[in-house]
Amino acid sequence: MTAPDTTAARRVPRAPHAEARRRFLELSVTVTGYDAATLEGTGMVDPYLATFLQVAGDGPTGQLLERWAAIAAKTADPAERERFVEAQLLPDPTVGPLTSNLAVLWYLGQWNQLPPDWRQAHGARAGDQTRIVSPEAYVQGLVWPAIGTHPQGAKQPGFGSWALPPRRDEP
Amino acid sequence: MTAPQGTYDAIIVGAGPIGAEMARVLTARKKRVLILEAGRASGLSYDDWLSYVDTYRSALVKEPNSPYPPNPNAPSTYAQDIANVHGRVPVISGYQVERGPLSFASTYLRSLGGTSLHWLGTCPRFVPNDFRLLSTYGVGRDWPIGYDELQPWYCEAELALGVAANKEDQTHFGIWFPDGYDYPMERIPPSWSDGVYAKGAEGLTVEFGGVSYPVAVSSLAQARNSIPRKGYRPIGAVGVEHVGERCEGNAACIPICPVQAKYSANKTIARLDPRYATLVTQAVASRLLIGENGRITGVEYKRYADEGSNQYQTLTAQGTLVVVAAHAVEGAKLLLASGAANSSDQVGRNLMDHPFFLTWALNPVPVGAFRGPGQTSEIASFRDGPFRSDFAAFRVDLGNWGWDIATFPPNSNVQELVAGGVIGRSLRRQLADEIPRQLRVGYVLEQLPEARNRVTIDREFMDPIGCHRPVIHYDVSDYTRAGMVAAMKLSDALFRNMGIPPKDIRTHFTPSSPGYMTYRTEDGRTVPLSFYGSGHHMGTHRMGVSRTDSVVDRYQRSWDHENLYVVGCGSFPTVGSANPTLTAVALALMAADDMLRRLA
Repeated sequence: MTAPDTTAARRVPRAPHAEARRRFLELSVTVTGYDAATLEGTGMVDPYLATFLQVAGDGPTGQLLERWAAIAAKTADPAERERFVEAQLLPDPTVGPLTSNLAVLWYLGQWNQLPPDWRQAHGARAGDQTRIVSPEAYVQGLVWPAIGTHPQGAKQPGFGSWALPPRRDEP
Repeated sequence: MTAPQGTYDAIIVGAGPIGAEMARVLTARKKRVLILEAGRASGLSYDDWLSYVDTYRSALVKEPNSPYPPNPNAPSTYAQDIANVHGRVPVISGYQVERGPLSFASTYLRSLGGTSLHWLGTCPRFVPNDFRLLSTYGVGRDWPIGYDELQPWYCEAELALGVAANKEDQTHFGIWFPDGYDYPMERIPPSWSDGVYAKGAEGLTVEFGGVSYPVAVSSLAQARNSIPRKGYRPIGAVGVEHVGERCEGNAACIPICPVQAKYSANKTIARLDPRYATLVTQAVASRLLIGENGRITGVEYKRYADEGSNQYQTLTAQGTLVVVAAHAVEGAKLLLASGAANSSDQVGRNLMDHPFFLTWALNPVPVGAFRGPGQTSEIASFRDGPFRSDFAAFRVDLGNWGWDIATFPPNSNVQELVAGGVIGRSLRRQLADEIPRQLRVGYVLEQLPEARNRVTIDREFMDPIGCHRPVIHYDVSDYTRAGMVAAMKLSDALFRNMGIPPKDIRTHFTPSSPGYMTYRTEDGRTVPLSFYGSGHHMGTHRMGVSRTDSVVDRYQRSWDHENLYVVGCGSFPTVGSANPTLTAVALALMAADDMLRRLA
């Protein structure tokens, strides 16, 4: 089947960004608490990297991924990686808001407008509006599996499924 | 569809559930009907519908009108436009102009199918005493008809809307069904969380005025596709009928069911016989033309070709009978703008809603929040009783979607946790720990008719094509506020009986809560309260037995114009605590029967 070449994913140049994509996915694993296979399964890795490049820009996104690479080089332990991100990335005026936005993007499919100081320092792009980035981003929000259900208005579980006992999501 | 031509047997203004069901009855008897719809022809193909689903998914605020893009030429109020009135009026941020002292917190949708595109589908019958509030409890008014007279039309309306329920669950306070009758579909399965409430309510009683009221959880009647009875075929999506023959658990009934498993007027409109029905959309009725003998001689309407431009043509349609089925607010506006049907001075007055009061808590263990239809069970125990002499009746909705409009989970939880520096597995764990335990109880409260609560028009406030915006004066009386205090007493008792510790009862109201207000109790306490709109606009052209204090008679025919019917929830003299659509459709079917007699 040949689909029209219109997705944001296809617009990401492949070769120079392969390394960026790998780092972006790795950082996403730490920021979300979900494994790489789950994140790949959403189909949102490429669109979200594209969102970062378009809305935050190559420079700040590059900084975020470089700072992450330094953490990744130090440890492979998931808990330690989380602590490093909390201690080193979140408080940083440039990459901190991007790290928070990455978590919110994965959980809600939503881009939060960056803080005024950030926009002042790095410039405010047209896409930097608080918004759901696409219908599919909402549908793939990780908050829904995290709370043991499906997105409202999508991935419907079938007649009478609501009568079954709830299932707990286990990290 | 074809352009209007000649004279019709009936002109129906408004293609919501009331207008659609009347058109169905009239055209089935070969009457020529012209339907004028102010909004766009939304959702007549399934592809159209999926475009609204995508709009919903990408909407930042998923409020009831969010799937349906604004239409400047037939505006609707969006929930985010509703602001508390803080002394300064009018509030003009939305389509409806608020004159206070409180904001009228409900919205409706002006589009083909009307508000049935975003309604929840809840279909309880009124209880017999709802029709005789004054003679039974000394408050409000009596209806010109009673339960027994409306009963056969309830059966017809339940078939028309496709209601799923078991009649043995619905016999509250004297509601009866004829022998051999059953709802077209079996009841919607109760949610897991309904079971948690039912267990928690076991043995619970609450006392009001020395009378002890037992609390019971029961199944809620809903116009939602379930397992059919006796050869009934559930009606699926418009354009693809095999889709949506059962509720599939999308958990998004409000604002949009992606598979159309719940009733919408579009299902009826799509099936109208084109030999007899003519539908014109983007046609805003602007004036009823009144002849010398008081007959309505025509309906003037403004047809706009393009939602992006305020250009329109003014046209006139002619019919033997004229039906205003345009919604309680829009219908009142049209009558006021026409100087029609108002010799009683009641048009626009007695505006009522069911103020919606919420309480919320965290259950000790998960209840499976955010699964299934918005509500599958209710507590009907306070829909009637001697307390109605003193305070409002209420129907209790047991929500299935966590704290939903109380705090907007799960978005608010994610945003707050991430802003607090919580990411990764702790974020995932904390969300899993709290949200599936969220319980939200909603109280649908009765409101009494009051002349000061009203819709008016004012030349200062017009829309882009020169039609009036509704100007609303609204307050909530002590009768209803005292009902909220009673609801709070029930809530405390219920949550306690469910084993919820006080720290996990999270109900709280501040001056920034929607519909914030207070109530001073008999023992001198000031209780903070808050309410949301139920989207149940009622009372603005009430029916009665006398032309001096009502707008229409029992058949919803205007006292002033012999060929004019003004139909819908606006005809309700009082509102009980039952969601109004089923009763409005039953009344409309009774009116259509009267029209057929007159057209014969």
